[in-house]
Amino acid sequence: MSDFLFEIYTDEIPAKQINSAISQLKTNFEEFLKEFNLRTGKVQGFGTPRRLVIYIEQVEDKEDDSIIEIKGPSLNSAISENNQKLQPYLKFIEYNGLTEQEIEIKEVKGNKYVFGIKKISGRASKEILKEVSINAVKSLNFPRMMRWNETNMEFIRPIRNLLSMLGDEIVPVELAGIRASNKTFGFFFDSPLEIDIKSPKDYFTKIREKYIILDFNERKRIVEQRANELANKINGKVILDEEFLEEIINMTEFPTPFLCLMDMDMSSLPDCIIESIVKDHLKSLPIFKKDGTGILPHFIGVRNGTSDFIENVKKGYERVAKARILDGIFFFNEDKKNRLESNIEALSEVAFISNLGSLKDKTVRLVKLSEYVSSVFNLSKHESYALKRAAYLCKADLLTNVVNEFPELQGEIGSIYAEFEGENKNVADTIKEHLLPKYAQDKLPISNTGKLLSLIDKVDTIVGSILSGVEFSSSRDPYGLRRTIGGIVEILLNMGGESIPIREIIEQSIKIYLEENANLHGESEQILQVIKERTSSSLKEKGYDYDLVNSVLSLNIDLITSFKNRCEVLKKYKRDENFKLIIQTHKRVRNLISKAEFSIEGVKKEFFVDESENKLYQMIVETEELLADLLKTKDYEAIIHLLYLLIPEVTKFFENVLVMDKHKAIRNNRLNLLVELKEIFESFADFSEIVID
Amino acid sequence: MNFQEMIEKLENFWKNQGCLILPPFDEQVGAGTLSPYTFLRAIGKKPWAVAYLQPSRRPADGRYGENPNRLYMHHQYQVMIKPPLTNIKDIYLESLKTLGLKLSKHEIKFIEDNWETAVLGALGVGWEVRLDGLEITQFTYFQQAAGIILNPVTVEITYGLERLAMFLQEKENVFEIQWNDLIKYKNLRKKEEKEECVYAFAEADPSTLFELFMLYEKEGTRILEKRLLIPGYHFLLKCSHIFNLLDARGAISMAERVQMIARMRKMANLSAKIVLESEEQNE
Repeated sequence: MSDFLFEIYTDEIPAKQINSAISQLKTNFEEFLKEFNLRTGKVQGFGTPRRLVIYIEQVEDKEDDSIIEIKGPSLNSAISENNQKLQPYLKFIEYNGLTEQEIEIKEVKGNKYVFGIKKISGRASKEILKEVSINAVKSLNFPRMMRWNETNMEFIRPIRNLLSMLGDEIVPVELAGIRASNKTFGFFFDSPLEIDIKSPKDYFTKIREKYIILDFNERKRIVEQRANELANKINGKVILDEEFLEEIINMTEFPTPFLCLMDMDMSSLPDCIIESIVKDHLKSLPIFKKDGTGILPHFIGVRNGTSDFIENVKKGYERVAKARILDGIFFFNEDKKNRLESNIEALSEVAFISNLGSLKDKTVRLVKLSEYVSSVFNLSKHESYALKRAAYLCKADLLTNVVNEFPELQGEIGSIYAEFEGENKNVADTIKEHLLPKYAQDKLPISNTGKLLSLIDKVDTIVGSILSGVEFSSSRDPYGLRRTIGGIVEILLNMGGESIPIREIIEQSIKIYLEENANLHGESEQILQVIKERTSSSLKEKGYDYDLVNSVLSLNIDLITSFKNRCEVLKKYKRDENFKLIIQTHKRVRNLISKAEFSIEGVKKEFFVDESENKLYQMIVETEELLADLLKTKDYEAIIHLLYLLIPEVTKFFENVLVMDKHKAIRNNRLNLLVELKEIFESFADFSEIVID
Repeated sequence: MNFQEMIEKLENFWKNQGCLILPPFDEQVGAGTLSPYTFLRAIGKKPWAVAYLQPSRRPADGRYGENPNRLYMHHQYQVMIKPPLTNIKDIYLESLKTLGLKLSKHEIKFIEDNWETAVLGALGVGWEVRLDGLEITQFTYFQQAAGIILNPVTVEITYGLERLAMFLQEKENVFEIQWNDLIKYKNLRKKEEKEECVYAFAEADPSTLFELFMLYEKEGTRILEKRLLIPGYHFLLKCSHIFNLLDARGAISMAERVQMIARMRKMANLSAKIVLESEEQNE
């Protein structure tokens, strides 16, 4: 038994892709190993910008032996009565490379057959690992691959060296013209430090001595701990955003955080610009005041290397920061020379989505849509103004120097400039919020007008794309339309209120497009379908089982604002014994109605024959009244209890009468009673979709 | 180390690596990549290794000579090798040592920076190299040029000389760089920076420039269709510079931009085709 180690030494791998590369490589090893009978310990993966490492403890020397049975011809046809071996027999052993010792006669379902029993001795693990390593590497997938030498192998970055050892033996893997050996390289100080490795265990010792920290989590601990200490020293705090942290940690093989000062007047510059400079340009951590009221003139750089001569590195970072801040001040001052409003004409020169005109056209549409939703939602005069004004101004910051330099500040800069130019706070906030959420799990708009502008901005994008036939899928989505749909759904699901006329808003958006360009075509149904699909996956991601999700998705999509609450209540009551009765009753009612042929003409008391019919009808009328109020106040738990009260009457009804009575009038009347009952159930959810275990 | 010594050191270094040392290509370009020494030589199978200084003009970056970091024209030192040497990255790092840097006293980071240009139909994968946080070099493996998948690929190294000089000379203002021990960058270039910016941002007449673009494009296409490579390619470079001037002026509309890029791309494709065909004929 030996340990196995595999290291791909490369030029710098893009920081954002290292962790995914490690986990892909690990999974590939696990998958390819499954094809063999080789017993191993667990597969572990590590990596830095310069190396991807796989370590498997306790690999057996060879695969387990296995036995295979090959069924041959029937005994009668293979061997004659006088024990003569016939043609089929000879052919069988020749074809399968069998010897006489491997032949057995076995009975299958009463008939005798010739069988070859072959013992396959397991292959040597060295051979298997060679094959697995090559396949595991070749099956890696990255968004952008490259070629770098005459082999034209594609990989994320050039492979420079391969180390592959099983115990003290080299596993002769060959990739991109490079043969694996037992040497690798330590940290690059003035030159690459070559190291000879005796065994996998020896590798981990030596690589650490040469200033390589292989484990991402260990590097992360170092950065987090030291960054917090450094920030504390100046009475500040760092905000450790996981994704950004991963990026800066994965730019290092040996991280050393250090504190820098921006010793200059930055008072004129909004904090968000300073933050962007520190993060984007310097790949460093900004430091905020402890109480969260603003940014400090310090930041934390993370050196790839030790603390030796770190004052040189610090000086360099500080100098770059200064130059960038000066740039920022220049851009900010240039922007202040113009009003946001003066950019709007020029938006006609900024393309929106192909065939959908410019951002000026989009602005015009947004203003129209904002007027429409203002009236639909009956917004106050103040809010209507804010929404319309923000709709008009929201894209104008795209043409500012600062957004050109820091695209991620779009919206935020528009908001700052708007307030600066004397727009009211509501307008400024709406501009800032209209791009939220920018990604999954991002924060949502808070203000009412922010929600509405974000919604119509995204609806306009999706409607336009679908009308002009832009195709998008998980693998190809150049305009980020899936993210846009995700944004629409998150806003709707969290909008609050009983319902939202989303269908009408979409229809209005289509109408506005068609006024602009009669060549476009499409239906609101198409767009609603896309929204429904996304709603379904979003609710499931939030932890609601598929059956509950299906049961609310069959409701009118305008009720989307209440889907989460409904799911929550269904989830709470699903295990209730009584709840099962609701499901069963709903199913029964639905089945009866769907099988019967009848016309819907309302319930007529005069056709009631049994008292249970009358009682049920009374109950239905009372329930309907209460239900309307409970739906309005979104008191969904009370609705479940209301249904609980209704069920016994329904049960009695089914016990006492036969719905499918031979008299047509009585039958019809009972069916019509059930239709009303069904509507009550389905005003809350399609219970029949719910699965009872 | 002054600016001219730095150029000399780099030139010597790459000469010793077997590169041909050529003079800057005499046409206004936005980047060393556009020089025929790089773009046209990246196409086809013939090995090629060259190093040259290339003044690069980017009108939109001009600041009238008043910004300590931004210039209308800066200098690139361009190295281009096909097929790439196996240890090219180590060789590059050696080149920094010849400029007097002790790498262990600093930080070098290679940060993902891929590169794509619609005009040339070119695509490269690589890094920006940062020295103590300062971007000093672009390091790129060309994968595609004029829409053609390159085989073999080419490695391109572009040093930003002003940045490197500011670092080495510890200057916070580009105009304070010592060109030689007596003459500063500002003595040579400050007035010229201002003039270029006044022209680009205020005086340039867009309608004349549009007309020039059309004339150059027409003549260039005509010549390239007659398979006259270098004279035709010169016209493409002229078009590209005029496009950059118009762009800095904010004079190009959305529709015009798409169209102008498509026209330049066509010239680039024609040029690439001539290179490939003449290589085939020589085989």
